[in-house]
Amino acid sequence: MSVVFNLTEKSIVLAEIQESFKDFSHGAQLFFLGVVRNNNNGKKVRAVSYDVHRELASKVFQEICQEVYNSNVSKKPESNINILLIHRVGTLQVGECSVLIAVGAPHRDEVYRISRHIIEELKTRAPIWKKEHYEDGESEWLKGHELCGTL
Amino acid sequence: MISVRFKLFGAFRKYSNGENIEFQIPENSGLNEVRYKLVQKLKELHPEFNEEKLVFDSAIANETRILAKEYLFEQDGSFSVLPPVCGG
Repeated sequence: MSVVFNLTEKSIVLAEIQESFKDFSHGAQLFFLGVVRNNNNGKKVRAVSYDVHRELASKVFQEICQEVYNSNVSKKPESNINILLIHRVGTLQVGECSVLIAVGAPHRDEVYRISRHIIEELKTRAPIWKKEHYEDGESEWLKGHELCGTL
Repeated sequence: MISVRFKLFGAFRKYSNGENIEFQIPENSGLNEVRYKLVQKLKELHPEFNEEKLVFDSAIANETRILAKEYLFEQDGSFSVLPPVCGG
């Protein structure tokens, strides 16, 4: 299993990722993109900012991917799987990609399950915080999931 | 007494201006004692501070991991205050 993760201030360009992620032993590749949307809870969103604890976030990404390897998320842990996880930091405009999870495997079942597992775990465990900026000039940090002593 | 430094994240960033918040606590203080002290310090630095509940909803981490409930602060160190998370 190959795992790469990255926290970046740069735009995530899907076409570049797809090109670098090619593996002709894989019959399935899944690219999940989280995108900044223009509304939340009835408010018009113009941008979001992400804050991150880089060291701990990297550790969480490692742990989540290790779980993929160890657990029944992948029924064949020895199988040929590539994972790429990229999360943006800084301020993003509406429509920009905030997170990309690319999973490649020989068959489709694994890529769907692994991708879903990673995004759900990332949202509740990774030390990343999101601040929304609204069209009326207000901004606020979103309420999230409390971290437990699991890191 | 020991010295502890806290780096703030997310909703707390605005109270630190990128600097660590530093104060002293008795040896072997527990997590909630330190949270109370942190609230005191933040109120001292920012009289308008009113996010006490968020401090108690936040995890405390050292440089490598989130501290368990029973953790005791035994020596000087650097820590982070991690409010509830919202990535993705």
